[in-house]
Amino acid sequence: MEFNLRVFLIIFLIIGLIMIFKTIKNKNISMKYGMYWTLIFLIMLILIIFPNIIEYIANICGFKDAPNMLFLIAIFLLFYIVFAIYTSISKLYEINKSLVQEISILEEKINKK
Amino acid sequence: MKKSGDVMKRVLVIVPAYNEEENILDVCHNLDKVKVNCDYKLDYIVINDGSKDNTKEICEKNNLPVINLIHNLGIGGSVQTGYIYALKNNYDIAIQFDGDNQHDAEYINDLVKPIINGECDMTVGSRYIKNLSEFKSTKIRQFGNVILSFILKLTTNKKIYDMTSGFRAVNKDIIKMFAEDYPNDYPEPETVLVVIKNGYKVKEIPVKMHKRVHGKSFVTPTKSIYYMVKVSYAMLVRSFIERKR
Repeated sequence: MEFNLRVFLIIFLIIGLIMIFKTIKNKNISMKYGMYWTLIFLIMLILIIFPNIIEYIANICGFKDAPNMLFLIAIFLLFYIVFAIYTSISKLYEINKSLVQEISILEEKINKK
Repeated sequence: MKKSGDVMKRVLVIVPAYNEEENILDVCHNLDKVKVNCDYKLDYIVINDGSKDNTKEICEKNNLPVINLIHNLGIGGSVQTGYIYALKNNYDIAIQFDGDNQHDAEYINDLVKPIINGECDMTVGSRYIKNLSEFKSTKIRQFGNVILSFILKLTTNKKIYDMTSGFRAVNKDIIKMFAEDYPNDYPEPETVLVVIKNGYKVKEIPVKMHKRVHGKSFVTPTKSIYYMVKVSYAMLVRSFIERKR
């Protein structure tokens, strides 16, 4: 990898990390999810600093080109994240629904008296 | 107003209503008429699903028993609210009855009787048996219904002819089950399957249904295709999950 490109990517990732910490500080993301994103960014940082790791793993897994493996991993990861978001939306909907139901029934009870 | 004697069953009619200002009063008057002549205690409750018209005001002005949902939940969430209410207030039987005047209150007794006598756990008011109903909805909807009926036969080996009927009565066990878990959209065919899969007995009762007088029905071609796909999928998945309980 070109030296310039690596410096650029590292700066980019550090800015990303700072943004994550800011988001955690403002309580816009829970500590748990903040940690996941931090881990992802840290792994990317390590891979950029030591690109040989990727070459090595790709070789073992039988990829012709290391970038192919990276793209595959990235796509799987993104699929998983989107799916996880869908499940949490569904869960939130159920909680929201039962809140609406309970409040509405309570309101009826109060009005009846 | 509690039970006189020990055997007086308490029955709750759940009336889901969304933008039914033209129909809701008629529906409730019909229910009031039926109320007098039964040998069980019949109550009803309107579930106003966050209507944008004057449904709420009409209910309050006429002193109709109503739960006003503070946010629109769709048909599944509204009906489930009725079941939760029935559970909390310890009703023995709950009946679903549409707020758009398509169902005939005269047949409530026919739906309740088999459950009180212990013949079955759930009754479904059917347009398609015994030909009581001159109104049968469009050909295309009937065809969809045949497919759903076939899926039910395939997965449970039971035949129910009117899968999409929203006129049904259930006993206490099923009230509890529905209060805990009820599909959010297009619940009718799916719930029939779930009830049968959990080992309850379902019986179809011939009823008369009417054409909608006020307001419009929701069906468009795209929506009906989506409906069929979603309901078939839900039924197949449910038939697979419920077996493992």
